[in-house]
Amino acid sequence: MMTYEEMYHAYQKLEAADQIRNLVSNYCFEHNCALQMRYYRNWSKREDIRHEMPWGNTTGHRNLEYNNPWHDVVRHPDDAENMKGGAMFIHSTTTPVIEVADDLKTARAVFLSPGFEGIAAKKMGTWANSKYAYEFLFEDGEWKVWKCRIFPVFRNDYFDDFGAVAEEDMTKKKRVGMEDFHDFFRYGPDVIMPRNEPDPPRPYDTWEPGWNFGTD
Amino acid sequence: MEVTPFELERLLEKKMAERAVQNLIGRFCHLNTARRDQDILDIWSKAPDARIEQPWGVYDGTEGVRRFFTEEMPAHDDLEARRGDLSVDCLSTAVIEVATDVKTARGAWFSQGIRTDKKDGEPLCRWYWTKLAADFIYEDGTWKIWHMAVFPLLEADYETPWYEMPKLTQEAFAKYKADRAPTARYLWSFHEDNNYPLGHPATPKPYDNFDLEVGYGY
Repeated sequence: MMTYEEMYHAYQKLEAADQIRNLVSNYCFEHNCALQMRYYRNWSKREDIRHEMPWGNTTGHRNLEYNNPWHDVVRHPDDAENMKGGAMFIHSTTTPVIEVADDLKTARAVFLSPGFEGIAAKKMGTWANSKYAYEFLFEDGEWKVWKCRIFPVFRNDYFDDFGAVAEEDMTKKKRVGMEDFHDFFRYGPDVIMPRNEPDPPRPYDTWEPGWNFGTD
Repeated sequence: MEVTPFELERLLEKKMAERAVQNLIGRFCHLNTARRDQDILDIWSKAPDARIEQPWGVYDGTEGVRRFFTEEMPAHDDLEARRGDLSVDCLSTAVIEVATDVKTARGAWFSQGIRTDKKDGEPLCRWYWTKLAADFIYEDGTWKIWHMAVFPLLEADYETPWYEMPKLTQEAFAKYKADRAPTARYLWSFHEDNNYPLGHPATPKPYDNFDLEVGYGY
């Protein structure tokens, strides 16, 4: 028979997993309509927050904001016009694996994300399929994003099948605050899906460094 | 309504099992993107009646499940077979029921999948939406996949509208060697000659104890 404390602890872990699901889903809804500034509120206050995207990695709040496409969109009149012309960025999160640490201080999660993007004024529409991996912190009574990495699967024009290798080189999109790049997978007829990108998290007691989204 | 501590513990255990099962099926899909066959076998039940059903037939027992993931599908270590291989199943629309005795659970999902087959040595990109149904069992202190069954929803080459794809027949699966015929009475594909089958699969309903005769792939 579980004690009262054990039952309450079990309930807290279940509730944490649901809150984390909502946190990530909220991001998807906000990103969808480019409410990026709201997204920043979902992040931990710590200065070691880490955002790893195909076009570059950032650490800290200032760099997170600067290395965000929507910062550029807001700054550049042309892109701002395009946003008015109808833009949407749909990255749904499915297939969750959410593991909350037994000490309830951190959590890890991965998702598979089918999606698409479009900017009507550019007559641009792309399929965008990726994997998401996260680490979270419980901070001031709320779950917050600590680290996030996007693992692309493919991002191709509407008329190209996903076997067509996209010519787009995201690493050329140099932005202020970008620190470094990591190699990332993108599907093509000659590539092999990496084993651990990401590795779904396993149950754990307390956070220790080294998971790095399961990558080798 | 008063809930006794004993009843509350059972309710919590069911919710914990539901969370574990959701993670388990998610883990399976993530592992399968890289064809991690040994890791998949580690999360599969070792029960004699473990199995996986595909539209072309059923693979029975631990050996059948192993054979499916290592011989019928590209094996993880076979890098040449995995070159250009894409197998992603994005699960949504979950129906999960945990038995009152919390020894088994059942689930069904929609999967927005994508696949590549090889055609003349080149990858052939395909839409591959399915319905995935599974029974789970609590075994040696952890939840395992026990029975799995996959039902086609939509299969189409990338360039072909799904309403123009030929009717799917068992001949299309001739290269596979299942242990026995599929239990599904109907091989669905989107075609004017087909009527969409009911109960394909039956979604799980609340239950107390597992009935072997309603297990997926029975």
